[in-house]
Amino acid sequence: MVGIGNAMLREGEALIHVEDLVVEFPGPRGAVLHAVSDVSFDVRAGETLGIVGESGCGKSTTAKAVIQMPRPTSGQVLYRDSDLTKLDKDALRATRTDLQMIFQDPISALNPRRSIWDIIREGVEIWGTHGEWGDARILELIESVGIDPQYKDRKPFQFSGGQCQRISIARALALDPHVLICDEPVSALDVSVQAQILNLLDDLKKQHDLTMLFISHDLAVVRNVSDRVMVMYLGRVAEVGDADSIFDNPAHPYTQALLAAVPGSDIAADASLSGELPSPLDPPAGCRFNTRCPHASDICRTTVPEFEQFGPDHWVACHHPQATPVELD
Amino acid sequence: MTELWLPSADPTAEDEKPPLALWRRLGFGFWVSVGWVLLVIGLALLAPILPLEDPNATGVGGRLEGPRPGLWFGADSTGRDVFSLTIWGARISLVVGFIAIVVGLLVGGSIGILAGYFRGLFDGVASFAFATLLSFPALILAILITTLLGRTVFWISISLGILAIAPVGRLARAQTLVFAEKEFVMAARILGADDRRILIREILPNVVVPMSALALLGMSIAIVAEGTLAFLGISVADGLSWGKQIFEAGSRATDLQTGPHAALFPIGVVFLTVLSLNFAGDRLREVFDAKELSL
Repeated sequence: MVGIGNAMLREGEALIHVEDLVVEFPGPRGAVLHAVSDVSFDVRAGETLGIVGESGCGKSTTAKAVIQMPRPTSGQVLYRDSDLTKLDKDALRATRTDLQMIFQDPISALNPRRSIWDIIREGVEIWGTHGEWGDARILELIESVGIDPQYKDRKPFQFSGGQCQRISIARALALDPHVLICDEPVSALDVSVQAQILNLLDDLKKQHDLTMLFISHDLAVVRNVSDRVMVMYLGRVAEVGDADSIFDNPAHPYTQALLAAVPGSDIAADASLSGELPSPLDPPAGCRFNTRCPHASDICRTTVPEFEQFGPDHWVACHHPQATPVELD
Repeated sequence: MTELWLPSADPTAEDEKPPLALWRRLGFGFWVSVGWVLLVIGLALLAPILPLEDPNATGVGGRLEGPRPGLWFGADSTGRDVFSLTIWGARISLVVGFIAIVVGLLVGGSIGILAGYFRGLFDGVASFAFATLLSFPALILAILITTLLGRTVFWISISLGILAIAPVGRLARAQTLVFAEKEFVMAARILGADDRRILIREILPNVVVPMSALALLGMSIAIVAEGTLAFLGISVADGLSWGKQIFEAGSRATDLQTGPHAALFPIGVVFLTVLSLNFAGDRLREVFDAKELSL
């Protein structure tokens, strides 16, 4: 993941176009925490981009930087044609309604003191009710996420985790957004409930023509929902491409290691990860994965690999890719 | 979506039995406490129209006469009606306690919430001010203010209110820090809520419960503090208060020995009132913390 370069950005219409995104936080004693470094990607309308990686690899930070929460250190985030990083406070506030988010912890995502009716209506309350944005539509929305509208006056603690996630989804959809950012939306839920929420997201995506950024550490979930997948390691992108290429023909040793860790995987076990994730306060030089990579050589320790094309929609940032490139025309 | 409507696979705990109503969850003790406080407040408010002896009239009973029907709490060393004194004294003691904690809540609460929400320089200054206030000997500060500005109900309330600012402010700040980090605040911001709306709709409702519990405790502390000032002889110059009454009844050892009731009755009323306020505050915090915050 050590990749740099923007070779993987596609020509043509992208709904979200992120270029050279850098997010740094002040660390202890003047150190700098490199949460996200030189990340570029694009998402077309109607697409779902899955972002995978270990905890702390910067996948959530990347997604939050897209909606400027907080604003990134540098780089540009184009949504349609406006650069969100350059919008002033009010313009950003208005534009951001088009990009909504659901969170990992369904409980802390809902204000315990407000009724779910108030919670779901919040967006409409802020921007005003008009025309088809009336209360009838909110009731419809509550029903469409699988919550019985007769419970609308209850408080979040009276619902289960799965139901709270449904309520979060309804809140996010109340303003008719075009983009839904899902930050580990099912990681905190029971497996039986996970499937229900994933089905719900899939249905709603079709109904509302949503474009999604789907963040998860669960590869099975990501494969299920994503059109394209971006693998991140320690703040950089390792490999990006259509889901089938990434899962069936992983080229980056890190992607292979992730896949090898899935039970029942047919990828050799010697590809699996050992060692600790290095600190983002002091990321390794060269390829950031070199400290844990079984194939690392001298060049990996000195030179950041650039993205190279591996298939029609498959890009890898690695000096020693472990798969055979697909023949390109 | 209907095929996803699977209430049995995704149950709410309370599908079977609805949660106990809030008033039931607060419990018997809470309502007894509230009842006592309301009774005292009611009597204090109605004092002018109740058939009470004039609290300042001497010789209503004999010197240090014990309790008897019609003179329920007995008489003090000048023959004044202790029952009437206690009820009239409640007026000033409760007002002082109430104003003090309102000052603490309004000033300390708003500073604390803003500091916890906006952080940065304002937070630094506010936290430093709280620490300074807390490290200043409380009683000295109260004595200083009342001697400089006057021994009126207003200034005594204000001086005790200033003492309440730091503890209330610290609690408000700490609670705000917790809730400002929660994802529902981020969700509100993404929906377009501005700072004012987030503070009022998202933060305040969550901070107000622990604060009101503290307010009840704080009111009882202020009532006791007024008593302390009275015992030092520097409470309200004119008028009656519980502290002043206890001070007058208890300042001479011989009086205490021959007629302890003149001091014990007001002490008992203060004790029960303070206990009730404490208990009610504790219960309130327990119920809300356990039921809604820990989930």
